[in-house]
Amino acid sequence: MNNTFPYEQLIASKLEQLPAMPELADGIWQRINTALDEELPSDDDDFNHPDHDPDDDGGGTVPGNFIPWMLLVTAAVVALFWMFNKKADKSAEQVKAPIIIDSSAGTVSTVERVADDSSEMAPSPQLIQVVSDSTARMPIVAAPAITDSVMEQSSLPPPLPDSLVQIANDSTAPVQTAPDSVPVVADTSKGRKRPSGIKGVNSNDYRIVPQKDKKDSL
Amino acid sequence: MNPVLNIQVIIDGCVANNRKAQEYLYRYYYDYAMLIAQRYSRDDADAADILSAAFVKVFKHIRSFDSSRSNFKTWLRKIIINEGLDHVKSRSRFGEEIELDYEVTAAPNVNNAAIEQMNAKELMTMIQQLPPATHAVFVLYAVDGYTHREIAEQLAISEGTSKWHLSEARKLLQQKLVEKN
Repeated sequence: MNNTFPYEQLIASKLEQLPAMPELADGIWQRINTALDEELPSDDDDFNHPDHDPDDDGGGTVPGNFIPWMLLVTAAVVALFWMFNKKADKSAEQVKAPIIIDSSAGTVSTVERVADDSSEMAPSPQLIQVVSDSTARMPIVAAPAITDSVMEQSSLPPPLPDSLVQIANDSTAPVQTAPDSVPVVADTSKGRKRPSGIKGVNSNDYRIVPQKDKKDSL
Repeated sequence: MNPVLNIQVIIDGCVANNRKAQEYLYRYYYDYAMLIAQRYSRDDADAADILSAAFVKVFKHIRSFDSSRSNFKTWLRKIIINEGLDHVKSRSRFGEEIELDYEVTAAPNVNNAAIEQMNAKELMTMIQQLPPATHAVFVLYAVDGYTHREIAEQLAISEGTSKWHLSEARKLLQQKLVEKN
């Protein structure tokens, strides 16, 4: 319990009559206002009234509306750029492709894939093989993924309009040489490998006939 | 002030961080708040410091005010006193444990007539001349009605220290009043 003396109660009652110094009120409020602006920023100054004009549609000078539009335009530009890049990559893929070398096939000296100038007519890239034969060098139009050493003619795709020549193993077949205008890569192995064997003799000529048969015939 | 607005509307505006509502509230309670701030200050400038800092705290924490549990005036008064005590603490050493074995048995010989002749400002100036800690304890006990236990809790001192400061304040005030007469 608080036990105060009468004179203390008198002092307390006298202190209640202290002047409040109204001349300081505005200055103190300015200090409070400044402190509040730093710590509790307020965007409205009008108490008990609507903060915004209800007729105001919020457009025009409001920068907030501009931001979504900018984002949309930026996204569209990025998407277009990406699509353009993808197209460019595709066309580049058609021009350049890995070189496939069939090392197991003795007859195939070089396999190169070249761009077909008429790619518009033939959408898939064509593989053109240049075969070095004992008789002639002839390009072959082949399927893209041929790796087998034995190339069967029947498996070859039909020739393209301006693709070059279809090769037959048969020596009797008419030999077609590539026209000068066709961009066939030259056989680089020509100088390195000399044709072996005797001219006019083919592998059939070396067939061995068994002796047994002869005896039986006698 | 708009008479239609009651204090709860103003407080609600303050909760919404409306600057006008905050100004209304400040001006509405300015006299009351300044009176409290002056009691714990050394001078007018110090009172202004206490008041501005206290109101900033009021507006920052007004969401925590529960009108169903306490009166706003009581809540405001507590904040101003706490701010005043923070100012007193900053210029005084309350940490010293002054344990005195004494009992206040007799009332100091103070002439009430002398006090009656003085105005509030003169009395306040006399109290402000007390040492800061003694000044604070005297105002808390004699003017704001705190008990020694509450003062001890408020200032983080022992009850004995609080009693010593009160005794010291009474003694010094008696001397001043005698000198005045």
